[in-house]
Amino acid sequence: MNLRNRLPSFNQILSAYAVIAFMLFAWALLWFFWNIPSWTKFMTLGYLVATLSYPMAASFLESLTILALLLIPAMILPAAWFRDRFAARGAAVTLGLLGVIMLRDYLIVVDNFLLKPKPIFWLTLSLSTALLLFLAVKFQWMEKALTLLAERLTIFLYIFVPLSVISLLVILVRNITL
Amino acid sequence: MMSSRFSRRDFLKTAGTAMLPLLFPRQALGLESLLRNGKKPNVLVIVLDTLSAPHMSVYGYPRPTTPALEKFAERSIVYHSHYAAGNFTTPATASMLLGCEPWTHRAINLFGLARRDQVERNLFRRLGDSYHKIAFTQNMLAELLLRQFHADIDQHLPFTFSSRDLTTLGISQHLPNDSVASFYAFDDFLATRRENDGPLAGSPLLGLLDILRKERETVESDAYPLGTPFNNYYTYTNAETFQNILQVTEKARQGDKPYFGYFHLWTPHEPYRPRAEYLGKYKKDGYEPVAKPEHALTETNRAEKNLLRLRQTYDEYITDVDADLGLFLEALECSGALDDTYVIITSDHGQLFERGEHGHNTALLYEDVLRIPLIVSVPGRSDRVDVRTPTSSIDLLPTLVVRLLGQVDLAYPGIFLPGLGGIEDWDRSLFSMVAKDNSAFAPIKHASLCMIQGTKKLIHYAGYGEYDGKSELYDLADDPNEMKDHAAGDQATTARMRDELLTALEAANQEVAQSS
Repeated sequence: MNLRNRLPSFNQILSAYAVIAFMLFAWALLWFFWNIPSWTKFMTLGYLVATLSYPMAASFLESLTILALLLIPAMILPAAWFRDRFAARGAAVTLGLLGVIMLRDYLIVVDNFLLKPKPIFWLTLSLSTALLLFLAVKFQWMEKALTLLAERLTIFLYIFVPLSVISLLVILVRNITL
Repeated sequence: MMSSRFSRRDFLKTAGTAMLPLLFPRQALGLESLLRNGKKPNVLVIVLDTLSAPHMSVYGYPRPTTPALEKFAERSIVYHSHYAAGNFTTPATASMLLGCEPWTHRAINLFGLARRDQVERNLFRRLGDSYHKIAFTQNMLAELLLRQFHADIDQHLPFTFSSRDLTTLGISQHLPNDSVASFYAFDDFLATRRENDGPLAGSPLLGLLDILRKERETVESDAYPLGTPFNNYYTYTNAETFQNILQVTEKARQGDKPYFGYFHLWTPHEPYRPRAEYLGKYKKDGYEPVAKPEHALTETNRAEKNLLRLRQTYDEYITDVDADLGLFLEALECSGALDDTYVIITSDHGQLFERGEHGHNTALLYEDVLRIPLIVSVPGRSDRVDVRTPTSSIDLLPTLVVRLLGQVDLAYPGIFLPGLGGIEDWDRSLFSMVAKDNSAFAPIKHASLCMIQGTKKLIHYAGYGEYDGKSELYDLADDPNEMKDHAAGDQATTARMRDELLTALEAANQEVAQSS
């Protein structure tokens, strides 16, 4: 079997990627807008747009990195474990990993809640991800729900991907010609 | 272009320049011999962040916090009433490097920037090509300003120069062509968080990496029981920093051109981390500062006992820094640098431990947060001069321009410092302000404003709800602790000073509105 055959189908990858991208872009945009009231006190619109281009590009690269990290086990492990129904299982792992990190970040700010010591954080991260993955494998309704969610989120890629490409160009221009 | 109106300030500037040969006696042999050989002196500016002059024994503080600077002062010009134009790094440093008040340059917000049309007035550009210009800071707020002036600096040392353990990713310093926007994107947003204060890291993964790195900051050691000095981005030691500055400046001294070096250190900014031999030095030393009533605009609301403890550690940290600074100054003397280099020791702003407030990024503008050191060693000069008339951090730029380039630049509102070519002027009005919550693009309406004229000091509050429009008037000669507010008793002086202050503010507001 060649390498390409070991990959999930393009549509499955796209659906899983949509979940990753949605979480990262939405998070970055949410907190970017949280910052805007203080930044607009001293930043011009041009500067604000230039600054926004970095989070957009970073989210894009980050989302590709996470997708690559999901594709590796999909290719290595037996197909039934992870590659089959990649959209649902990829979405489950993404929600588990990113969800716990984001929740932790959020709790630090709203409640000064710290998942300390570090082993507890890593344990929570691993258990949550494993639990979601288990649910996605074990229960069909869960798998369907995750697949449905992933498919619905692909619409956002029509915004995120062009935005990322423009952002990368802006960064390139600012760092080469300035 | 010179203004058609020749003001009193302009007259004093021009007169001061004309008197330069008279004001510099023959004992300034180093400078005289330099000038005779057609050489220009080097300039070394050391800015110690958050160093309050009222906490320094060289200015009469009861605790012996600065013995090394006291020694250095014996061969220097010591300014006793030198004021910062702002009470935190951004406005204060911008005023020093742009030679104007914050209401003009508009770097008034935390992490703020100077107006684009003001950037070209920066000191580095003003010195032109005749100087090799070096700049370094450990304070990110000042670094942002230096990044704005980057094109005018020949040797802009990295922010992490002289660092030990990095606790943040510091991505923006790897993008030198877009270091300001990338700072806001990465170092202020994507990869960092301000715990308790938000915002969250914009990137969960970069933020996670940032968290993992941060734990290094808390490392304690026998030498540093409270932890190694830390500037929110990396740990460092003052001894190493001074040693590195010495290496850079000694190398610059050997160059074809004279150098101008601006070194803005983080020390003694909080967290206060004195070495073991200084920690506890002032515990139970019997010193009791005047207890002052809590102010309505105090933000930290600290108990007096807590403020005393913080003050003690701050004083111990100043003593620690002074020891390293003393070794640095001795090394300069041994190398002969003091014979061809102006050495300027100053700060950007002070620090408050009174009225319930600890810190400096506050609405309050009392002496401890505004009065900063200025000690200038002139090449070859070995006598002490004490200047007691009020001076401002905006005076440094025009003074250096006239001293180093022999040019009078009336475009800057500052005067030539007395003792360095200027004339003592007790009637002059100095301004300081904080308007951190006001938009830099809008007229300044939410601010604390301060005017000093002779020994009189007016503080005026604008846009603070119930405190809006209130003024306080102090006579610093009789009441250096600012305990007796004369605003109600001396309404004529209060009204006159307030009118002058608000007229100056209005003029600046109009100028900004017209230029934008």
